[in-house]
Amino acid sequence: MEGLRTLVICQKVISKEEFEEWKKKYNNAQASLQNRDANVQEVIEQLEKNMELLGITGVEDKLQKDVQITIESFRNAGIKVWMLTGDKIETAICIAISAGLKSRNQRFKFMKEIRDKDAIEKIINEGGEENICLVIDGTSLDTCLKSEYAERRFIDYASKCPAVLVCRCSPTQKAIITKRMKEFCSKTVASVGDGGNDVAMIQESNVGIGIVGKEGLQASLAADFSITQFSHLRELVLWHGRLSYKRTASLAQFVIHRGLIISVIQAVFSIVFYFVAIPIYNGYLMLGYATIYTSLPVFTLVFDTDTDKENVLNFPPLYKTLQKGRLLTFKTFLIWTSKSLYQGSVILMFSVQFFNDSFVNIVTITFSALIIIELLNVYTEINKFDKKMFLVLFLTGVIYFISIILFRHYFNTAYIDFTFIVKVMLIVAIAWLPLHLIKKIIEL
Amino acid sequence: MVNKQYKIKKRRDPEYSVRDFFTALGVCHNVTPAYNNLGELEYQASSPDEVALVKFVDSMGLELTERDEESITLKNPSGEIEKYTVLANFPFSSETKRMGIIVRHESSGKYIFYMKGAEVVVEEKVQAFQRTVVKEH
Repeated sequence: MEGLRTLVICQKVISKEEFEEWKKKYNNAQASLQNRDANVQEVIEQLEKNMELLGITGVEDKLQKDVQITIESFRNAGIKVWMLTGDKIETAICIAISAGLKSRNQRFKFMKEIRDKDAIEKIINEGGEENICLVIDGTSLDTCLKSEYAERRFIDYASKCPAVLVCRCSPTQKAIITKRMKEFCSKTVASVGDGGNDVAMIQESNVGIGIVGKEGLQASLAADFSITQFSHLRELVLWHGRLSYKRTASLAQFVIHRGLIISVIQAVFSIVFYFVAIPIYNGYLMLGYATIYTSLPVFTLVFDTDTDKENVLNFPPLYKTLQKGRLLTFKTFLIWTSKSLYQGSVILMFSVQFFNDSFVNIVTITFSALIIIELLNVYTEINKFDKKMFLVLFLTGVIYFISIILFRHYFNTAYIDFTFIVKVMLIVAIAWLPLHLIKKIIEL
Repeated sequence: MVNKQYKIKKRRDPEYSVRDFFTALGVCHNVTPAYNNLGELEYQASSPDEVALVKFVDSMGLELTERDEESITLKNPSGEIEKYTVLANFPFSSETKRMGIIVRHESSGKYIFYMKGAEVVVEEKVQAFQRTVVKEH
């Protein structure tokens, strides 16, 4: 009965008198005030004797479409896959093989019905964990989770195995394993499940994913993400997950940069003018800077893609590099801070230098340069420039131009001439071009 | 899901035991037949395994037509309606790993106790000479 979920069916014909007598006992047990469940169970067991065996059923739980390829891509993407199931060991092993959880060159290692801590320790000490698929059942797992030391030893060992299979696992155990993995390995754990038994585990994990299945909606209601097919996981993690991380990182840092650069300008302005406490940009300019002038371009960063979906799905190792978390670190933060410092000071210092004779127009000059530089910075950050993004950048440029004409109170339009434009462009070039070129060269 | 195996070893007339086996499958479950918007018969249960088993019995000609708290109605291959009154029901739980039901077959007046469960548990409940049959699987 390899891989089937088996049930034994049996019957017992009883006489009317027998039944009536039993029914009385059963009613009494149900009416008991103490230990009701145990009493009822005992009465039921009185009846469950000498049953007549009728037959055995086997139900095959077929795997969903594309499970193998999904697990295979996860393995290549550097994600470890553990399978936690309530099925018995034989069934679980069959599923593990057909789902491709165990690759051909790995062998199974069993921890079966072990109630003795030392026996587990012995298996752990055997080593060779790089190439085994660990199979452990609920009983042995209980033994492993008895003390913190044993827990640590076990999780440490199991997390080195390429694949782990936990059978006969209760919902609570599923949740405990998830929790310990988070604690001891400091890894991000995603739990995927489709049944009511998986709810605890889904809620315990960092990312809970529920599959809408035949067993109902409980899992997907408890989850952060709900999908209809296991195979959708591949796209969810490799494509959407990867992009989400990249975009969050780039958006967050760009927003920091956007705020910092205007503060740097203000600071340098105050320093240059003998530490006066005057805001360089007033009213609508300050308001407009973070809203109409830059918000659209900055948010186009979330539409940026660095490669095609097809490539990502075909080359899961592309995902692997993300796991080092290099896109959002102290180092990248410092890089962005220094960018802001450089550009902010260049804008103000060179304005003072070039427009020596017209301090009154410093607002128009620096603000124009600032907006143009920010638009170009967005352009630098975007990996794949498309029509939508061009439109947004262009539109923002136009909005800025119109506002120069409309807000005469802030900008001195009479002053704008050819030399003005050339000088502003020069400032922009000094502030933006070197950074842009450096980035492009590094990318090569 | 596909049912694959139903093996019977019996000292009684094999025809009867096959019939009993299917009746047991048709009676011992917690599946409720319901009609959906399109008027099609659908089986509803907490576990897909149970639905699969009832569907299998259905494909063998024994159709579950009605089910409520007190009674179960089956239609057998010859078109007769068999009515069972549910006298007691012990639902499945993960601790007991089995479910049981006591029914009265209305036309014969027989009281029958059916049980379905994981082999580890049920093994101890069957008659001694049949235990080896269970163990083989």
